[in-house]
Amino acid sequence: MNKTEILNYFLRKGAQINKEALEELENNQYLQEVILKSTEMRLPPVITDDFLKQYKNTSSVKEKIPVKNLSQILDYRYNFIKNILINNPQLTNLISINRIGDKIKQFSVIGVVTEHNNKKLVIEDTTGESLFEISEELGKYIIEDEVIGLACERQQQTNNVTNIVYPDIPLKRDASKTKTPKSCIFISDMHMDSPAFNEKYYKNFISWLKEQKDLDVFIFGEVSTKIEQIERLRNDISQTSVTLEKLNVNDSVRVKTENIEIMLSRGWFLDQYMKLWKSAPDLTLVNLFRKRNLNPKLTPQYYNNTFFLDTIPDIISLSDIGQPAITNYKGTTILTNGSFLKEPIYWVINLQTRETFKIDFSIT
Amino acid sequence: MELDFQLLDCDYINLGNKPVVRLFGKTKDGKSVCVFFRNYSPYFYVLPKNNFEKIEEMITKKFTGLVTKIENVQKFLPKGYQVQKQSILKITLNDPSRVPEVRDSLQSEKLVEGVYEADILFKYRFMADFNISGFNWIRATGIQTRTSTVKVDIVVEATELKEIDNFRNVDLKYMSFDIETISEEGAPDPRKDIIGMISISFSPHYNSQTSLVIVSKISPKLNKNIKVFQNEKEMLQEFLQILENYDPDVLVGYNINNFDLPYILSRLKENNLHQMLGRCKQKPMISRKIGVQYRNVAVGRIIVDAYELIKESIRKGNLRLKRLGLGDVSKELLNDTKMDISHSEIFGHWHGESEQVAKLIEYARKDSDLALRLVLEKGFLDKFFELGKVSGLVLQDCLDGGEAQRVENILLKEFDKNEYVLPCKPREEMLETEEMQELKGALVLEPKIGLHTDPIVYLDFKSMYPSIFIAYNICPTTLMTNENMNVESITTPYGTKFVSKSVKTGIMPTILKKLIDERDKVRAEEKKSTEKEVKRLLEAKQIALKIMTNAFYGYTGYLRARLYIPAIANTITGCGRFLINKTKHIIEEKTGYEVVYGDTDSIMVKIKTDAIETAFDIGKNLESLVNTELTGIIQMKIEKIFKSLLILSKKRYTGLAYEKSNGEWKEDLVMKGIETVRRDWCNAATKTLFEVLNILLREQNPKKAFIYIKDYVSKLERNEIPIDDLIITKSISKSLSAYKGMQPHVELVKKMKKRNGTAPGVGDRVGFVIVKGMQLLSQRSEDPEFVTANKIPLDSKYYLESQILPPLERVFEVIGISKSELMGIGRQTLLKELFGNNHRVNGTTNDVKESIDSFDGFVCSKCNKFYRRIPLIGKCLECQGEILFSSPQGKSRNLMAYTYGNNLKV
Repeated sequence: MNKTEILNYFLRKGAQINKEALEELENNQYLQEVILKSTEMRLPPVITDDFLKQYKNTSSVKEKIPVKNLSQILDYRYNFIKNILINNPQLTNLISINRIGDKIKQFSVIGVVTEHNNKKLVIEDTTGESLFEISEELGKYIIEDEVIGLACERQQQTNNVTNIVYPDIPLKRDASKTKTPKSCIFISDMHMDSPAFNEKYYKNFISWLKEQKDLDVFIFGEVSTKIEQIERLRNDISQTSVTLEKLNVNDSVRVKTENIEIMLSRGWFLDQYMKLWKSAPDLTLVNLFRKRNLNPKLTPQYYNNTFFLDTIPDIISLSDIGQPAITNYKGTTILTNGSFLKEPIYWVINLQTRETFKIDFSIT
Repeated sequence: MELDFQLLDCDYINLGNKPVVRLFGKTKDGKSVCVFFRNYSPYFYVLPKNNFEKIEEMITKKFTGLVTKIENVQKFLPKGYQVQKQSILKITLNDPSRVPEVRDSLQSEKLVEGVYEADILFKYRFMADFNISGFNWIRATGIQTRTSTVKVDIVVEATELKEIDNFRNVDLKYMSFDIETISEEGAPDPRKDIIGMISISFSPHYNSQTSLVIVSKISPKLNKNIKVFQNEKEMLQEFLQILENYDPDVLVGYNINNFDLPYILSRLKENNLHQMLGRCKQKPMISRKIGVQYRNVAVGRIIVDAYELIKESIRKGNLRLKRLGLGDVSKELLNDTKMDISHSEIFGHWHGESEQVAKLIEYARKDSDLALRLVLEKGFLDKFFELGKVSGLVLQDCLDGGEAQRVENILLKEFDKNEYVLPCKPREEMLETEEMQELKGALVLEPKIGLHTDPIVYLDFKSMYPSIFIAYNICPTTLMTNENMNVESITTPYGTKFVSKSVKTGIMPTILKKLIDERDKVRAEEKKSTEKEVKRLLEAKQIALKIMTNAFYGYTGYLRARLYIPAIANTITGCGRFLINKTKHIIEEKTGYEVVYGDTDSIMVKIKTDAIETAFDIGKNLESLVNTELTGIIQMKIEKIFKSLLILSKKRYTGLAYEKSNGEWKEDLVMKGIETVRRDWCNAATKTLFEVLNILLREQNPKKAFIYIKDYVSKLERNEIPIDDLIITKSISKSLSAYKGMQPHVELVKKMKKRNGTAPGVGDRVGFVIVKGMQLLSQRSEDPEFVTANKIPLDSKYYLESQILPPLERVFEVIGISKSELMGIGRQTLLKELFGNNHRVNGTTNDVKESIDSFDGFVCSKCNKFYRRIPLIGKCLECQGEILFSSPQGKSRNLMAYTYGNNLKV
């Protein structure tokens, strides 16, 4: 919408808008979607940028991104993982791609996957690209754009991959724990604005909250597009003794509770890998974890380092999967949540002991 | 007795210290003939330094018995107009082979100012003096005799010889052969690798057989027309016997000059057998290596290498063939091909089961048969028969020699008739000191590049350079070298002066006029003739006359020519440039029509009309206008009308031409300077180019051509193009270890050897495709069958960028479509533009937008290489160019995007 259309919209709703807010709205498509398309939003008499701010924490303006920014993303990933892999003893005789030749029969390389299909693999490093042949089994979990290490044998002018080395996370890693008693729960995909939203589950949830102490509640994923429903949730939680930690996560955020690092993430990206590997959400996540990147494939729509695991969170909780599951991988608790529409199953984690237990709001 | 025969060959032998000339030929009833002529001696001329006595003294002292006569004769010297003849000495000897000895002595003792005609081959000296031409009919008067020196049906000792008129050619006997050598690996070595078999084909048949294969080992279960022998020696003896019994006039084969004949000679020698493959019983066949080529001479017979005839036809633009192997050529020209045995399989077949030997025999038979069919069915020799008659050279020299030799043989006769002497050929040491003068070429008018959809009239000057010779009386003998000479002269547009025809008509203009008149006569006869055979002969004759007419200009600018006179060559092209420019001005100034292109002797004029007929009528008017303006100099003729014409650059155009023949329009796709066949192209490259040109010229629809190619590119990327169209072939010409550097076909053979244990060998053609990957191109060649079986993806990018697009790029460029658009990068609005206008300002496709709203990948700003993901080094991997966002909107350095939740944020 342009300025005139926005002005007309608010006038029809009996509201006015100041100049700054008008410019902000015109340039922020996300805000337009949240505010202008919400039919039941209660509007103040004058729309100011303060009003917009409460919706802006998950959005931003359209901005000019130069090519070099994207180049830096890739560069950062490559160098970070290279520095991990370079010390891996499985990668012997490590060479640059431009040095591959018939004189060196056994070698290793580190590079970004450019292409992968039909047992063929194209790997790129900063010196060039090369073709590798790989068995179906070995290449099963390779994803384009991830950074990996390859141990190879050169035979008949062909580079045959004998082993793949992923950056992974250290084997020995102690689980972080809080010193004081503390728990947390990750609630996602409430969909309060959906016709399928189950009021009973919600009430069970709030009732349960009221009984809790020393609990941090993390709410993320789709909550509602209607401001009054979000306000209702805020109010209901405020009447309990729990702490509301986060709302409206769009892609992925890291939060810290004492010394525990938590990654909350929308899980829309996971579906493609689950389909590719035909694996359950938790196992899929473990495989991605080994790559130190929950979404390695770069697409024009998604070109960032949000899911890149340069530091390892203690807990990862994913929304939008619709299949509740929990697993632990080398000290990190990995959760996928249920949904308030069908299967309101979530996990409570005791951060002092790192014990977990399941809670089902359909029966609580 | 009188004996009429058609001359095939001429040589001489020394008998009793005197040369005897031998003329080999064929009578009307098919008998082979050798005519001996005695009492003829070689001679040459010297220009003395007023010291006749000294010369006589030296010759008497040194060459008594060899030099038989010294005469003082009056002759004109060859270069520059001369009012009077000069006194020069004619020195006659009795041994042709010792002429150089006498000449060198005279020169080294500095007794002469000039030597003339001392290097004329004795046979041509004789033929010139007796006015005999190669392959013409001759009447010999003399007595029949017997001799043991030649193998012919009739031998005559002649006292008189004269040329007679007979238009028809005698039926010659053709024997084609092909050898199969047996070598385990690599190129066969004639010192150790035997000839396993020789296949021979005959025309007409020999003992009721059209073919015969002689085999050097006993093998059971063989078909008819096969003779087996205990060993190679017995087989070679049979070959010599067949040669003697059948007595062919023409020996035919495919690449026999460079392989079969030298190999047979080596094996005959190894087996202690004679090497007399010609009709002389004393002179063995000679095989000399000149540069990288062998030249073979079998006295009395003609050696015809079909491979060389094909190569010559391609060089002259008469044939378009991608590959020159016998199989490929036969497939194109005869719709028949070799049997399916690769060169490297021959060894295995030879030592294999009897069925394999039998297959090898039939394979060999097919080879000799195809070579013979190529020569006979395609009429490749017709032109050479007539060239022999026109130039006077014997047939073998016409086949092996160049144009200079043909021109000089005509000049020898004409100079002699006009009492001129010819200079000797410049010797190598003279060539080194001779300053190479710049020869300025013809005029090429700046073309109006693009697709012309209005009719274009193509007018050309009839025999332009020969006409200039005649019009300005240009000849070495009329060239005025002295400015002060007081004679009537013609100053050419180039500035050189030649004496007027009224003073003296030049020898070259006289010869050329005769050739042009003769050609006109022949063409008129050809038009009238209804008999197919006569038409064929007349066509060959007019081609031969045309070749000879056009050879004179080049001859005068040829450094090794006896009459190398750069001033004459430059005068000819200078006059040509003047005439083209003048014609352009006449047309543009007097009619207002636009000349869109002109080259050397032709001009193209755009006529704004829809009808071909109207364009033709206007062209006729232009023709008469130019002819009136240039009366007495040159004649212009309307040659054809281009319905549409695509001009790419100077010397490169293609058009849909219409020519009127017997009142009817004949359509033809004309291509000049556009490569349509290259050996290193796959079929897809040729197919797409032809299709695009067809769409552009016939339908005049650039949009459709663009869509066609975009569609083809998509198919290519989806692997939907049949793999056969993508196969590139190359021959293994030497052992793999002899190859320096990496070549795709060689690398593939190495790969196949490791993989299967067997692979194509030396002499085999290797078909390969390029598969996807990041290794060097040469390492990505793969066997098409292996690729199909293993479903290996092909490198569509390679095919697109190195095969399909290169020939098309220039074509599309001139109609305003860039390479990046063909590859699917860059603007998509092009089709709209094509509806409105064929031409677009160059460079718009390379515009970089300030920012775009979305992107589907990245593109190099320089080479337009597309990347799904930005390369790690941040630059183009191919050319180090800047990487930009690519989208259907265009290219940009910046992307305008919402950065919800860190999206697209570093």
